[in-house]
Amino acid sequence: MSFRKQHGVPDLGIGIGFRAPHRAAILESPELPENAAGLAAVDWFEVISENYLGDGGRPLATLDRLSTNYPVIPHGVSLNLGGTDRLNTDHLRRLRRLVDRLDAPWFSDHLCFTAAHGVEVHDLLPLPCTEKVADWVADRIRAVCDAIGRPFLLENPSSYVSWRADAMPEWEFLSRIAERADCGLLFDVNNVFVAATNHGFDPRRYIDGIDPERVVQIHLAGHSERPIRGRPKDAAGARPSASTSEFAGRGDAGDGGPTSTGAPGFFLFDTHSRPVADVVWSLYRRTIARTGPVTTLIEWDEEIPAFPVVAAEAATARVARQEATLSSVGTATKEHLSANSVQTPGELV
Amino acid sequence: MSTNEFLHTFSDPASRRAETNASARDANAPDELRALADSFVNWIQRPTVVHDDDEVRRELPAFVADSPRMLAEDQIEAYRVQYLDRLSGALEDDFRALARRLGSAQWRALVADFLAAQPPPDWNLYTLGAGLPAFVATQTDDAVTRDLARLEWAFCDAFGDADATPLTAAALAAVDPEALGDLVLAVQPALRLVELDFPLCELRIALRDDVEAPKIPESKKTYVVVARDHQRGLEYMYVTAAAYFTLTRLRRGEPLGAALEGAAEDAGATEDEMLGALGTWFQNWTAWGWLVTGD
Repeated sequence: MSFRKQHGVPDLGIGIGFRAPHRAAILESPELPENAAGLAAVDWFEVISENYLGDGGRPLATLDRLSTNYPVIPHGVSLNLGGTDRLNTDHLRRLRRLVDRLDAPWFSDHLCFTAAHGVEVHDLLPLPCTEKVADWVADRIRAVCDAIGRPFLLENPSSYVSWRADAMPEWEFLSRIAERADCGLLFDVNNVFVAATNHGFDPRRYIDGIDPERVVQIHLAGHSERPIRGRPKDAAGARPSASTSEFAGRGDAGDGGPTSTGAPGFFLFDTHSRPVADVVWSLYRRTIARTGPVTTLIEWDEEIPAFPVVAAEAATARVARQEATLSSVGTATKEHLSANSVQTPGELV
Repeated sequence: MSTNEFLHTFSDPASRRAETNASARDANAPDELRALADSFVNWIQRPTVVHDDDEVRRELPAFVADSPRMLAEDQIEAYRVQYLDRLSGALEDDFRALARRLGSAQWRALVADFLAAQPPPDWNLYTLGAGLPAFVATQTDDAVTRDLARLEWAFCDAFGDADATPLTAAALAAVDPEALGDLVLAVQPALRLVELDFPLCELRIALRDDVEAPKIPESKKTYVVVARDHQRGLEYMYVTAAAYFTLTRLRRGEPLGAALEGAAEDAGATEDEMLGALGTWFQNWTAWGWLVTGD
């Protein structure tokens, strides 16, 4: 049985990350405007857990208003799941209180470490992909799940570092941990593309390498290019554009195009400051074709535009999800019909 | 002293290596992961560009491999830059007026030195700047800068405190007059009391809003209450010394009678002055929700 069925996690539809500049636009409209297709602009919201772990004040008042009208899911950035410091019991106690307050069907955090020897760096630092580390992280996830009492989703990180100790690709590492901890996956498609570009692997291998039955939620976001300090730019000084790459230009991630782009001198950075790149939309469709229509979220954290701009991205995700789902159902139905088997569309999800 | 004379010196790079906090460690963690994590966190806290940092460059090859796109130094440098950018941004959100007063270069230098001296201890970004006012006080003799840091921290510190049920004027009026002296009143958890050498609240707002800042006011002993308003935002109010010391003592849990006596002494106020102000204080403080039930 899939993780989603086993834990009864719902498909929440299309959401966006709740951010302060949109507070008034969202809270002062009991029902957000529909998009051109007559569908709700946003079905649910995700909040950064750590912003709501205080004891009172405006954050919790805002959260209560938001959760009156929408499902709200807490997404953490500081559980330090891969860390070597002890799990912070005060953090866990406050997180439990938040999750219960929201009656959230799940909570999530990242496959990374955020602290060492008592110093918290407030960044998502990638882990070396080894068996021993996988066991270590899985143990800590189980401890966190025991403390919180709800299904947990593990998110794949963006990565700019290659560890010598890496003994397997990240997708294998992620899958092993999820299996050993029996947790779900929050699959960040943009992070896959950023890591693939920076480390030179095919993002489709990542997507195809994870267990689609464990994917409960998907993140979509924009990324940016940053110059590399130590390596000179290429002779022509050409600035790469992932969103206009040959890969993206072919329109679909399954057509055998090159896996990532970018001229020497730049790397991709997960800034959440731009629209979702075309190439990431393609990878999203590929992911949905494998997972079925799972809960999806648009993240936008820097240079945050007006709410309608982010809502428009959510609308794009809704269409892409629908198209990819229909496409995969059609393909699967044909395959199964040809094999004389019977399968309901629901089982494809 | 002008802000241009803000005392700043970079610490020696070696001194920036964070002190190991052994009590935080999980003894069951894999040794090789601990070595990697300790090194990574130390590298990204250092002030020097990785490519110019011989110590880091010596350590890197044991842990980091070149990737097709980035050399090992490039990879760690990306995280090092991000560390300071992210935390500087978080602190600037909380101390925007201070940052504007100092200017970009001095602010960034201050943040770098502060983070080297007091690395972030936990997950809570709201408390990241808790030690900054005291740190600023060790870096400059400029009283306006020091006051501004303390005033801004009062707003941050109160931000996420618990909400409590306000004590009503009617409930206070119902107390037996004979028992008033022994009455213990609770103060709103999200209330902060700040004693300043300058009345800086308007300057703080102007600097935070990035509008033309008013002139630095004349030095004057100033007492400020920062408290939650009815929309659960935070507002400030200048109060008299007597009111300030009364609230300070109430917050400590002193009975009302003792608090008033002590506050009169602290403020140099006469008994008549205190008695004349009491009615207005308690009318306002209950209306503004500064006093709360002890629940």
